Amino acid sequence: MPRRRALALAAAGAAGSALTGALRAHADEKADDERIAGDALSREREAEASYRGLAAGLGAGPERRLLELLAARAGANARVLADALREHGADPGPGGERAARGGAEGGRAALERALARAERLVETHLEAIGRLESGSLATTLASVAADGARHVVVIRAALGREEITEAFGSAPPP
Amino acid sequence: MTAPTGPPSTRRALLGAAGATVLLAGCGGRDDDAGERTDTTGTDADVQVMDVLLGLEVAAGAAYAAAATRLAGRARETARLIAAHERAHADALRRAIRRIGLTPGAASGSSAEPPPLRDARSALAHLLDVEATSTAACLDALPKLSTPGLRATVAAILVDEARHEAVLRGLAGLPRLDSAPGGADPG
Repeated sequence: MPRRRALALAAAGAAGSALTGALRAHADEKADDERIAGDALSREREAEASYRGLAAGLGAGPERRLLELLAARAGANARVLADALREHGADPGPGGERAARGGAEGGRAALERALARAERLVETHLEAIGRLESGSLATTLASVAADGARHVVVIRAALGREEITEAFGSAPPP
Repeated sequence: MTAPTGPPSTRRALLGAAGATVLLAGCGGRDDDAGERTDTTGTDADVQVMDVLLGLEVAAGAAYAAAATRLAGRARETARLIAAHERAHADALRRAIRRIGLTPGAASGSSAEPPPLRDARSALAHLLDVEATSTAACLDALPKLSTPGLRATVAAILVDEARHEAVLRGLAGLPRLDSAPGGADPG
């Protein structure tokens, strides 16, 4: 085989291997992103079900109305995340998490539980954003996390607590 | 209740301040002596985006300091607390820029004249405009950044700005929750 042809074949082989490796790495990153965003979607759906369940355990009143509003917003955020996953080529799954009806614990206790969930939700969303390779998925999740941060403020206000405290309250300064 | 109307062109003035800061200070350059861990995966485009956000954070800190003089009681305390948040955000952005081996611009955020703040109502309206600008800028920046680490920094700032907006809406006598991404009724 002429030397020039052998070199060309070797170069083509190396390029092919590099391309295969790059495609495999891209597929791995895409799968990781879909898993991370899918987990975030599950958490948002669970929050919706939790808020709805807490509301169902209360009589009519401002706490119940707030929890119903938070459930509606968490549901809206879940739909935004599901749409983003579909655009990414992934199946977001059916959702439909069941609302566990809250016990007769009173409005304040229900809001305390909602606050703990809302704060944890923002923290986990921020942590997930730091692991996403896709800028578009990260942006969508960031907008959902921002809405969750507003929920934290509203619940804290309803509980009569300081609405905000230190900077980076949901994540240590990066 | 209707939303308070802010002084005209506030958002444009803020964006102008941030842009002018970047132009005046330059977009930074490679900083091999930053003395911090360097993540070389960042790009010059990243630092341009981050410098705009830095300019906005510095301008926001100044806006809160100015607005505090028109506020009293809890509103003044809140404005001072959020001014400290904005300074912490600016510091975090500078650190993030240095981590990618670049030098942050010397953002002053003072190149635009703040609008006249006649009273508490106009001060709160101005601050709501400041927060809306910062929130929009963060959301605009996120998909342009090349690394998850930079996006995490900006997302953490975005979350804080969303909190500020909700608190300011409460101080202004508005519902703390505006419309949700999916259009859920704010009640």
